Amino acid sequence: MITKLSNRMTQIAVKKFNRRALLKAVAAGGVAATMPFIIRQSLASSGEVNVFAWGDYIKPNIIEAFEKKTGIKINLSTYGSNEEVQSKLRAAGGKGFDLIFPSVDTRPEYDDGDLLQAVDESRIKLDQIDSSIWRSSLKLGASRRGKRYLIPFDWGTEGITYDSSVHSFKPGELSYGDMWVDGLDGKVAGRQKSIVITLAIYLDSIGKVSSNRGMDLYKSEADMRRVLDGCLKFLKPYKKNIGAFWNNATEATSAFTDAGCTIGQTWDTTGIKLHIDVDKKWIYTAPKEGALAWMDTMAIPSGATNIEQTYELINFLMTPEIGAMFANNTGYNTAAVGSARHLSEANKAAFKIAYPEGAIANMWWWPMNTPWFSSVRQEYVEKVTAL
Amino acid sequence: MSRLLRSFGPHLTSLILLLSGVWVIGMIIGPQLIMVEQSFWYTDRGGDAVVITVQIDAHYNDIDVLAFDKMDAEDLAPSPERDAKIAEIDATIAEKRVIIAELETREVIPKKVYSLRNYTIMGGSHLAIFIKTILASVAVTLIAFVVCYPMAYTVAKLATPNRAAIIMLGLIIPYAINELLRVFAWLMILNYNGVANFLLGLIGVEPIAFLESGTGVFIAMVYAYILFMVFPIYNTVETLDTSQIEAARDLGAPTWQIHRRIVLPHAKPGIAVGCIMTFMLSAGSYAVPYIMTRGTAEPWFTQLIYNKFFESLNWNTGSAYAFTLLVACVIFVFLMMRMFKVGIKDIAK
Repeated sequence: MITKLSNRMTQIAVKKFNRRALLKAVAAGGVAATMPFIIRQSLASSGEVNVFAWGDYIKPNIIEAFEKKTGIKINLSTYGSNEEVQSKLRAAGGKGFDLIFPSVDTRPEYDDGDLLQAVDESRIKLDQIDSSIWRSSLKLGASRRGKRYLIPFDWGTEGITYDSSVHSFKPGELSYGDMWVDGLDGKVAGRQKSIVITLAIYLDSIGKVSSNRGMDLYKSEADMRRVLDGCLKFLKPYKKNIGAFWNNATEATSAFTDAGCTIGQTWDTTGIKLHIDVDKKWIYTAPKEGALAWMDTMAIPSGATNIEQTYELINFLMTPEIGAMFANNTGYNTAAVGSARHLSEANKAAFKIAYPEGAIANMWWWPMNTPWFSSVRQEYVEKVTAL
Repeated sequence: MSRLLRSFGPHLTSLILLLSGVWVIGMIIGPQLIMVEQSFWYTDRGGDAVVITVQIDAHYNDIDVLAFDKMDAEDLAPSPERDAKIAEIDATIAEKRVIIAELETREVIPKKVYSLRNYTIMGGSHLAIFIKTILASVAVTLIAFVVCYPMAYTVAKLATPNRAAIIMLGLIIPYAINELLRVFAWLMILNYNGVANFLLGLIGVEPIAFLESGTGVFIAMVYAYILFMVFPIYNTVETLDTSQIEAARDLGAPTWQIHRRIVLPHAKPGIAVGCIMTFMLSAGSYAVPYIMTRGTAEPWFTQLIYNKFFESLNWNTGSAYAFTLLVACVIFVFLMMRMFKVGIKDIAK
């Protein structure tokens, strides 16, 4: 049956593929190959920019506004994790894209093979970018040995989402430890790679496993293993609590809507979207030990070809109007100065619930990656899964 | 070679050779070679010396922050405090530069080292998952065979032509839908709040965690790869002369004897091909175990390979793992061929 089918397919293909088609293809290839280098060069930078961004970052309204203002076309591709953009860029030797949006702490992963190019600060309108975020980004690894590679774009947090019809917590009292108590069988959601971190912060805060608020994970490999071993030991009797692990926003949402979880660690937008779109009973809030805070940035890969247009786009994205458009689109917090007055009311209200008094100052920023961090963490992610 | 030249002439022959060369080198040998090469080296960062690199980077970051604060200070109105502040920042930066200079003399530059290390560091837990994946794939293959053999035999020998066509159509239609969609459909059915548990709830059964137990993977895989088992078996059984079966029956052979002595031996190449395809597909499947366990059950080996590449960012160990899986699959193929006593030529038929 299969052979018959494929025979038929071959016949159709043979009929379609005649000599004229072949000649045409060869001719087209020949022209492209002999075209002078200079012409090809100018074609490559004739008003377009290749953007590789997180799935929800660049919505059609932003693309439209940019094309209208500058006439430059945005070719958008999207990714779902930092590791994805790192791997893709590494496989292509830094070529193929003009602008990417890596998290600030992951910059060292691009050092091997020099996958990013240093940013020319003179071409960026620095006054458009919030200076306190700019300062934090320096601490978190936006520069490498004095040269800047990353420009702050937005920030957000990972805290706890819970069903307020099942659990009740006083404002500012919620703790990471509240997920690891008896009687929550199959009710807890989270992603392994941040559960191990928040466990370290929690166990440090109650004095069980000292880790200098998690900073020891970044001190040396031996320290990291010591702290995470302590976390695993603590987690073992509570493994039965876990109802679903998630790795992206969709999975996180379905952990609550489909897998029956009532409390769990999520990104801010997941919890806020559940609250606004699904049911008011879902509450996202920063735990008292501090929400995990991430900052995403803009970076130019070393093989970028449309440099002019890329700087144009960077400055455009950081204008107050577009910064606010981005924040309203996604629910993340932009690093653009002066966008607050353009924010929607729903966005402002959700922000108030998410960050109780003092939560902003208490955030735990992901520190800069160390060479051992990714692989050791992955090892413990597997151990958590297999507990 | 000379026959090729005689049939197609020099121009077409060289084109054919060129294209097959590009195919063999570009699609088969090249990628494998790159992967194998990757698997035989690792980056040596000097063991504990890597901490020095981390410290240097942190000091540089501190200097950047200080330089930033200095600019803020310079914007203040001139006053003795302002000068004192700037002087203090400058002093700290100078101090840090001295520390950095000293650390940099001890920093170890990462280097590429060829060794078998990537193959030997697979720990007990990963080895267990590797063995489990191979065994589970064998189980999927067996289940698929048990389900498919009667089906293929019915279609080929028992059903009327019309009914056979309808059964075939019923088998093919789901395959017109993307594999991922079919797997997601099973996810919806077997989810904790899904259709299956809803129906069980109607007769008073507590919800069952199909996904977390790993059952879902088996169901979805057998479903996803069933066609690859049905068609090869159907193809070979169809070529069996029906009069042989009738002759056996006339001579008094019971049904199981007919299958054991006549149908099965004849269908051997088809069964071998079906088993090989189903095994390779399930051992190499990434999406099905990933989706159908929601990350809560033990991973399949393919997921470990993915994680080595994309989570640990260790392409070298990832390549070694991938090569190990490849070798295991090749061994399985040869075992199947030995077991069913079929050669490459039979399979190609």
